[in-house]
Amino acid sequence: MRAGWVRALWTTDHKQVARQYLWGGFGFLLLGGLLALLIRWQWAWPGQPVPGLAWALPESRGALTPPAYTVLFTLHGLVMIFFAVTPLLFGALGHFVLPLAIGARGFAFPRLSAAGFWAYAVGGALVLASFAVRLGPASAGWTSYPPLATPAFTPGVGQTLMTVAILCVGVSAFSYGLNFVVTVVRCRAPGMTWGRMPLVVWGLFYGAVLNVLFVPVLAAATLLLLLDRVAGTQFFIAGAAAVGGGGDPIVYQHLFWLFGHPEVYILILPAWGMVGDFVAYFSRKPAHGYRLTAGAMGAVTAMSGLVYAHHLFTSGLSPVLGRAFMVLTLLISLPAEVMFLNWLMTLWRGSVRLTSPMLGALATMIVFGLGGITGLVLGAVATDVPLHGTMWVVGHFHLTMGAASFLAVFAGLYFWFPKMYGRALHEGLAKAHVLSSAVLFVGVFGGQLAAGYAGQLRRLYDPYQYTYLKPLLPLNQWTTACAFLLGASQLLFVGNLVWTLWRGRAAEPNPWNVGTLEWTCAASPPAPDNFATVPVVLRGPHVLSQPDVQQQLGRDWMGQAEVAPLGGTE
Amino acid sequence: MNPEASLASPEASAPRRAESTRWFAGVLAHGAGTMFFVALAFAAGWYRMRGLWVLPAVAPSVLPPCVAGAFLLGVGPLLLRASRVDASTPRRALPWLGGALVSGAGFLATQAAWLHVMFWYRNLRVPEGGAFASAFYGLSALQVVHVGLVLLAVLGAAVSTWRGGDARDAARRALAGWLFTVATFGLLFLAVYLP
Repeated sequence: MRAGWVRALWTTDHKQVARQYLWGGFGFLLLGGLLALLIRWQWAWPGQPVPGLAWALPESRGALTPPAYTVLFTLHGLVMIFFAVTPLLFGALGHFVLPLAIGARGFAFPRLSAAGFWAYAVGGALVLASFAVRLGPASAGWTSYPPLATPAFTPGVGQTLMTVAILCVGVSAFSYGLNFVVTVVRCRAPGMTWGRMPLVVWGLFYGAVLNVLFVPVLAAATLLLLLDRVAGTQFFIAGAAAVGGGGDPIVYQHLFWLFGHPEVYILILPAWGMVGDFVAYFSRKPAHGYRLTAGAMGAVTAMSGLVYAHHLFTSGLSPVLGRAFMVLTLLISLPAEVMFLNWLMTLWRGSVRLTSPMLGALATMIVFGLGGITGLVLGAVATDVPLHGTMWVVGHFHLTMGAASFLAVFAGLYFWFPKMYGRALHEGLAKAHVLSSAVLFVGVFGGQLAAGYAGQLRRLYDPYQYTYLKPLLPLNQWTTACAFLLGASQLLFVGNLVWTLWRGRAAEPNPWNVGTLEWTCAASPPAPDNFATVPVVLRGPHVLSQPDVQQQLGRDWMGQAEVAPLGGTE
Repeated sequence: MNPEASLASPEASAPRRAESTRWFAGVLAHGAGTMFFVALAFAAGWYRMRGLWVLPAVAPSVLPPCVAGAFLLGVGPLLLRASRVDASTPRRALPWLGGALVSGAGFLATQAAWLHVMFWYRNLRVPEGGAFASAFYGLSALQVVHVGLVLLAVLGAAVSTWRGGDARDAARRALAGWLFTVATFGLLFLAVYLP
């Protein structure tokens, strides 16, 4: 018989795996957030010692040196995308919710879930280990573009460890992607038709499809880079550093962005699903245009691999290709607008309840809308060329991939936490956390947009070496103040979480009064096999405020598997 | 999906459903693996287009990969036969599975011999051979690893059959793996081996 700690670590219960991802994701979110604050410090007070950092950088007495700064922005991006936000969305929330929401007893391949988590954990350990190696951690930017990421320009084991770590999280993402797709297709409860799935399941499903399709492309690019680093191959090494003619670094950019742009949608599709559901639940109305919303998410998924080259407009791409990718990029915004309009129509004349998940969903809508609009100019060649490589790009993608995904993670966590742990978080603190985070996100990333519009290039160690950027110092200091306040506002969540896990009150069985299977057919927290008996699904997830239900049951919601007293309610 | 059809899923068919689920997952995984090789072939094609594909004087003949490809193609019909033997006489699958293993080993041997000749006798080395040598060895090795995994699955099915088990499902899954390796070899042939 296996020891208890082995059973606890090698668990195949999807809910336990979700909790493992949750804590791992939080750990890396903290690390990535601290790195971001150090970057902001450098932009507000360049070259000034950071209080309390002298132990790490004794030679500069705590001031960030150019190499240290390069490490910071490299690791911040890599950690946040691959080790924090994606694992929180898919690893934590997706693992927890998906089987429950479709009435399955677990994932199709439970051991694959566990293996995926441990691949992620090994990757994370490699990232942490890279701090201890000679020449320090990775420092070639989060995209690891060659030739910068090749040994010719970034020697040392740190960059290699990070390359292997990316392969590890790729294995993890592929494993849960495969598991999610197979589980949704093959393991739905009787009666859980495609048209009855909650929108969050649609979002997770589409995101998982993108993982299965495009993570292998990242794996191919990363593997070639790894071979260049350790086996002496010449895929991406060029110019004076090359032997025997060398390869071409631009091909890496194509492969990277063929994954990288769908990754944006991988991060946002589950968020869209949550927004679609929460807006309906907390407006007490069926989701407006449910099929259209699910279809629009599908359209975005289908097009997501066809727009990637707008990241390469300034790489010497053929102007003909540039125009083609510009048109496709602008086209992909149309289904997103359809979804947005459906959410607004759902809100329209609804009985809106500003709960913490609803505030999170609304905040996600707003910051994603801002990020989407500011992205249009980067999709068009003429406006991308002057803005490329500026802080505008940084502000744009932080609004879409950072703020929107982050707020959606917390919307989801506030919604499902009572189901996850059987305890209720403090609602007031949760609302304060969501609201303050949303406002400060706009402050931080709005400031970045403004700085970029004024011409500040990203990744500059000291922007004020350039005379034309000197006037931006007050703006960057203001943005840094917002960033530090944003960091401080996370203490609202940490305090709430610690208190709730320690002394929190027991959660009600269905605190949000919704009809989905996880709330109406499973205990809080659910049993190991989720349901006493597998539910038979009779209707969709958004049966809300229907007059006949109110008349028969005295409440405004109905369970997806609940038998109507007089029958007939769909 | 028809709700009634879903409702009618009988518990008795659970093993069949589990096998179908494994089959579906296998197809998805192989599809993803194909994306991996498409990305690699894209890279190789890129180097050709950009004139970085400096074919050395040792420009490889297409004959050895054609022989290797023939061995690889031979695996499929044998696996197909193995997956279709009568359920009452599962051991009849053994000769077919054995044949598939021999044919697969022929593929590996041909590839290994060819790479050996290119390295030692035609002096095609990494990194001196540039992008071509990198793609030649790197992509060939990755494809061989995949073929090796499929052959391990076939070996597992053969051992299971030899012990008296019914390995038809395993042979069916290996058949999907074989399709995948043939597709990836085709990509490799077009992107790297064609002069």
